[in-house]
Amino acid sequence: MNPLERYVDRLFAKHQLTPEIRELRDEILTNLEARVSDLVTSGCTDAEALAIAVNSIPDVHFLIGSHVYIRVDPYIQEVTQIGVLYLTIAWVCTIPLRVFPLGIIANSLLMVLLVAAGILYLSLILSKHPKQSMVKCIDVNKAKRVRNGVWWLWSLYLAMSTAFTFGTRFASNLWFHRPVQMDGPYQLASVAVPFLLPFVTVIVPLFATSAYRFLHLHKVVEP
Amino acid sequence: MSDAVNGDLIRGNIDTIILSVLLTNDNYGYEIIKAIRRKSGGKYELKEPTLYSSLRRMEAQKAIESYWGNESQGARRKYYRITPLGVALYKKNLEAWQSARDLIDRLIVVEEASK
Repeated sequence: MNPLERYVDRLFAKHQLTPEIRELRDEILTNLEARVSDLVTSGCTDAEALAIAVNSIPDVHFLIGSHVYIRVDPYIQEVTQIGVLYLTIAWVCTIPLRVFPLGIIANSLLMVLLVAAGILYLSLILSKHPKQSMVKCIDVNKAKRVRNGVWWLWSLYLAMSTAFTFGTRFASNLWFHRPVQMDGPYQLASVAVPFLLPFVTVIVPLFATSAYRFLHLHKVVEP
Repeated sequence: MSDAVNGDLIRGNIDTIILSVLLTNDNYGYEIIKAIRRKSGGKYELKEPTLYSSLRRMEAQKAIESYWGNESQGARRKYYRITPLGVALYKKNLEAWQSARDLIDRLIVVEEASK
């Protein structure tokens, strides 16, 4: 096996050699061989020619399956921006719940997160990155799986939290012979809040969905 | 003229440039790169990653098709051939480029002020 073949094999080391990918590997290899022999004919030494050929194709991920290149800095900035937006909405929605202790905790926590995200966002805007055009290779299918996983986990959390709250609130009659009393809007709200509050966490899967969607908006066509 | 601007302008027309090479005869990857270098008078070198992503994109669009050559000596090579769909795409892109170029010319070229 010659050094060129070894290099190309290393490029494809992470990928399963399906017939399609094997064909791509062979194509890249034969083209690099053509480049090397062309360079040698025009006066390069073997080592020089090999170095130039190897440098001409640093990686192959973007040619395989679902890999895309994205511009890192604008992507992070936009994702942070949408994060700030979601946190703001959640924070505003929980302000009325400050009447209840649980609401105070949730609202204060959201405020802390919001301030942190806001500071992060401002620092991203104000800092002038020297490497504005830095690009990164992302597997879109993997990102999609992450997004779906977040939605699943969130649904699971919501189902469990609702069941748990229901059990603790409405089984009191079973455990303590003390029926739930609801004789006014305040009592209704104090029963409803523990049920509704977990729904605020919907901003987490929504954030994941946005982060996934923005991948497509910041795609670089040619690396 | 800055190279970056050049690069951006060329990048938008890579597919058409490759089609124009394949229009004359079937060709394989490195030979396409060489043909483009020759056509540009050595001023532009198409990068291999760009070549491969463009070829794969156009093959998916059925503008080109590939086959493995039967080299009498040396390695077998993967050749590309332009399809009728590719010829149509080339003509359409060429027309679009020419009208855009004319328009931009009209928009950015300032005539010498009449005396």
